[in-house]
Amino acid sequence: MGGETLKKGSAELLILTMLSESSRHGYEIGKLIELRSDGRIQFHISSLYPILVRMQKRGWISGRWVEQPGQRRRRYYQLTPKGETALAEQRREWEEFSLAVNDVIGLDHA
Amino acid sequence: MPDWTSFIRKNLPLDALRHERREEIIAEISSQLEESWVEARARGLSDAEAEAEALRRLGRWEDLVAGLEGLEADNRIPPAQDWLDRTEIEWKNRGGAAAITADLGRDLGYSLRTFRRSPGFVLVAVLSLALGIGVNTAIYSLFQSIFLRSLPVEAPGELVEIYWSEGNFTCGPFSYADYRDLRRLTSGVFSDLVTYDISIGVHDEGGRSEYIFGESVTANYFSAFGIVPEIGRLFLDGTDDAPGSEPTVVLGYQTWQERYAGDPGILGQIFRINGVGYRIIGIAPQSFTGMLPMTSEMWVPLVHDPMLGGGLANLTNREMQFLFSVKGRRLPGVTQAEAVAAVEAALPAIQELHPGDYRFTVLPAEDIGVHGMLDTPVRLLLTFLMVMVSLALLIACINLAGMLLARATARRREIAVRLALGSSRWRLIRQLLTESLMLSLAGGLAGLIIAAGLQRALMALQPPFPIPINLELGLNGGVLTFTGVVAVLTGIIFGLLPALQSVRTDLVGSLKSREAERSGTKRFRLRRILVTGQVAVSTLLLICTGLFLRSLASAGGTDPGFTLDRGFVAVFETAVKYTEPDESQRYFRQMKERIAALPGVEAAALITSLPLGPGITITSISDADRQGGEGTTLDADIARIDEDYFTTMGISLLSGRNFSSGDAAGTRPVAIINETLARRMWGEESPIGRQVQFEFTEDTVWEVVGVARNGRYRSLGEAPRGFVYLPWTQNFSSRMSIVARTATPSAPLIPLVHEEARSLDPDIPVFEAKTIREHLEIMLFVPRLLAVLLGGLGLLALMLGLIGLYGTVSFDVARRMQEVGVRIALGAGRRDVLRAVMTEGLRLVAIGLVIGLAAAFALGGALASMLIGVRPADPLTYMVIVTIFSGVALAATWGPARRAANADPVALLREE
Repeated sequence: MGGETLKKGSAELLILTMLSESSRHGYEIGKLIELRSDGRIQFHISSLYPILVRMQKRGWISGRWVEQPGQRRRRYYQLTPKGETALAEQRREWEEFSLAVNDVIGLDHA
Repeated sequence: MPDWTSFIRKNLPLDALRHERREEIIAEISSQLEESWVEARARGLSDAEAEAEALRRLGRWEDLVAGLEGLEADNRIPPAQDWLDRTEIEWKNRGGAAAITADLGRDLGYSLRTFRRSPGFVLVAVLSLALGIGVNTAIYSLFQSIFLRSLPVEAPGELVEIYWSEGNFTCGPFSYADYRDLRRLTSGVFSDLVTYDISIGVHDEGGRSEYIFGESVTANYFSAFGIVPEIGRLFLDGTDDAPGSEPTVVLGYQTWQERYAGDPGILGQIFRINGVGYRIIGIAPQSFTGMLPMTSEMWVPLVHDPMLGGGLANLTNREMQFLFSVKGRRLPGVTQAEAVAAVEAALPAIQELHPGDYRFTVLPAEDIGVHGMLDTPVRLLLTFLMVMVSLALLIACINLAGMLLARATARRREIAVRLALGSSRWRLIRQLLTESLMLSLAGGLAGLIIAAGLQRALMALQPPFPIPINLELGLNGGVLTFTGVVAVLTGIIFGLLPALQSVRTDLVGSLKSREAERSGTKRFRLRRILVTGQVAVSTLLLICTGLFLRSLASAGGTDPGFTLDRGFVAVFETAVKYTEPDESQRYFRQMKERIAALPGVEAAALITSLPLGPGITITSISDADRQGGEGTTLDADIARIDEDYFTTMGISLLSGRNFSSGDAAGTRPVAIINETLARRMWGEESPIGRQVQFEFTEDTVWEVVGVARNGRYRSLGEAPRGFVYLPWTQNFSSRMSIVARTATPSAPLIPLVHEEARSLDPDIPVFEAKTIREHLEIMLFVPRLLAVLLGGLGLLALMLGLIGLYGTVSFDVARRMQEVGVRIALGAGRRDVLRAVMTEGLRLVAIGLVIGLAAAFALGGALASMLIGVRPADPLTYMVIVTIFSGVALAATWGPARRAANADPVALLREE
């Protein structure tokens, strides 16, 4: 997908959504976004990682290292209560925003 | 699977972060890359494809760093007061030495990769440093082997050296009798006082006679120096020098190996020297080659010195001062000052036995060199050479600094990016220093190879003396340390300057490409200063080189004071066989007749030692009729000659008469003096008929019968010197030279001289025979050596200067191409561009030249004593050097200037 700015703006929402389902490790988050968007939204590791760091700093997500037998050491992220609030907030903002944009540009929404 | 952790660690420039945080980031990112790689492999991709896929997923480092910027403030290493604190914190945070070593490994790897991309730069840098360091190492090893080597004896720090001094003649030889008294009177401060002299004899074995060189020594010599024999025993004090004792000899290790294949059975056998049997009592250890600058083949007790021929008069006559050196070993607890005081206290007692206005000079251990009289000029010469080679290294270093600076400018974007990505400046400086140190160490290693080659060349340069000089040069610990220190200092000092400059970068500006040119201006100013300095130093070096080349040319053309130019000289020593002067004189007469009869020989004559050779005899001369008056006693060199000497050599007599066969032993003693001595003693008055006395013949009164034309006696560059000729029949010497003038080339006659000597008396081989030209080579040896060494250095300086200048001007042009484009677009002609660029380059050269000339002019005085027939401010040399350098400068600026002038303005402006 071409819209770099849109992608950046929506990245936090996408990550929060992914983590609302279960705790996931960094690579999994990127991979899932890619899968669910049919490959239209892709994040490089170098772009995604700083966002994860930023979200941790804000207290939206927390990370911990998990080591399981037969597996590599991975860092799993999960949503904090503060993150859940943020997700709800962002969802609402996105809906409002996309509706508004669609109205302006004359796209019908189902 | 690729080692992703190392990959990230190597490539992620986050030096400013705390160690733990940095490791965490590396761990997470590498774990993600691993996931990606494993997944890609699971999809059936090959290893390489999986790796490419993982890297694609990684994205750009810049994004990662930009993303983290601002987020990691808490994790940054706190800014400290200075870089040292910061380094310490960094050190601790990084986990100390292990982490730093890892960093170093990374720096080395990074440098190697950078070098692989610019092999030309590396080659020029390493080669110029190698040349600079190589010549420094070679000259240093020469200096070390002569002055810094410790004497090959036990506890050399306890030794002192004592000379007999009179007037400004401080390093005179002792007589044996004076030495004996001094030894007795100073036994309270010295555990031993030894003396030794060069000993030359003819060793005959199995019908073959050849010269053998060694030392005649006091019997306490070996024990005082703490030498332990290889086999057998060494001399014993009171045994081997006892009156009437059997002559004994200690052979050198090398002699033992070469002549006897190391056979221990030779102990107790007889070794014949000058027809006398010496019993072999022992072999010196391999590590001890004697106290002279040659490898001694043998040692004999002084009382059995083969040169004394059994006549011990020379040992009791206090006027016979011939001993090479007197050395003492201080008793434990005795200071140098106490030793000096004791020697001074002994002086009056000795002066009672040996009247004269002399004193003793005591040198401490650190000042003991080869011989007091040689050390000063040799030290001066070597110091001068050290300065010259240091200058050459300085030029090479400036080149390196210039090149590093140019590279730093070219790499300013890389550096700016790394700074932006959080690399600390200290970290970057370390990286840049690693690069310059790698270059300088590589230069040092290559320099060692060059040094080894130069050392071999130096050792092969046998001076034209009959005695083999023992010059041991090698890459020993001291030399290696010297080279290492020079290389490291070079790398640090000349790498630090450019490194400091490059990290002082305007980040935003540098990242915006073209803007960076402006930040490079300051750096470029430094580069110009460097080039100016380089030109100045090269000029200084080239002027010195020029002066010595001129000096060599002038020495070759100096009037030696005689016209003989085709001929030969042969030296004979009769003390190896005869003890009576009559026998010797008969031998010399016969030999001279045989030489005069050789085909092509026009004339032959006798002289003790031909002028401009190594043999000098000095005496004081005084006016017998004006005893004690001011200026009535003068120093003069002396030679004994026969009546054919002046005609053979082509020396004219200005007044009076020549010697004749009538001036024999028993007739009135006569002397001929040179014009300098005549003027100094009697001014404008005639010296003919004056009565003179010489110190070494005490009461004999000599009448001056003639005045000879001045000549050069000790060196070609010397100031006029007083000289005295005595008839050889009235003042005996056992060593005489026969000089011959030939009508044909003289070299083919030398073998005939040896043949004649063999047929006249097989026991007296020719000591030395050479052509006159070879004889004069002795005097040209040092000027020629200097001219060759400095010529090489000068060429090196010129080459390095050329490279530096070319580099700077090219770089300047490349930097200003835009400006050139604008100028051409605005209507400037190619000629204008050419002129502008060249003027800029030549301006640097002009400034450097002026500084270099001024420095050469200021320092020139120090060279005066080493130059022959050339003033230090020789205008011709200065003019030639200025011309050469201007030519080089023109050549170096021409290429880049033409490139600028031929540039396409449209293309240049489009680049913006």
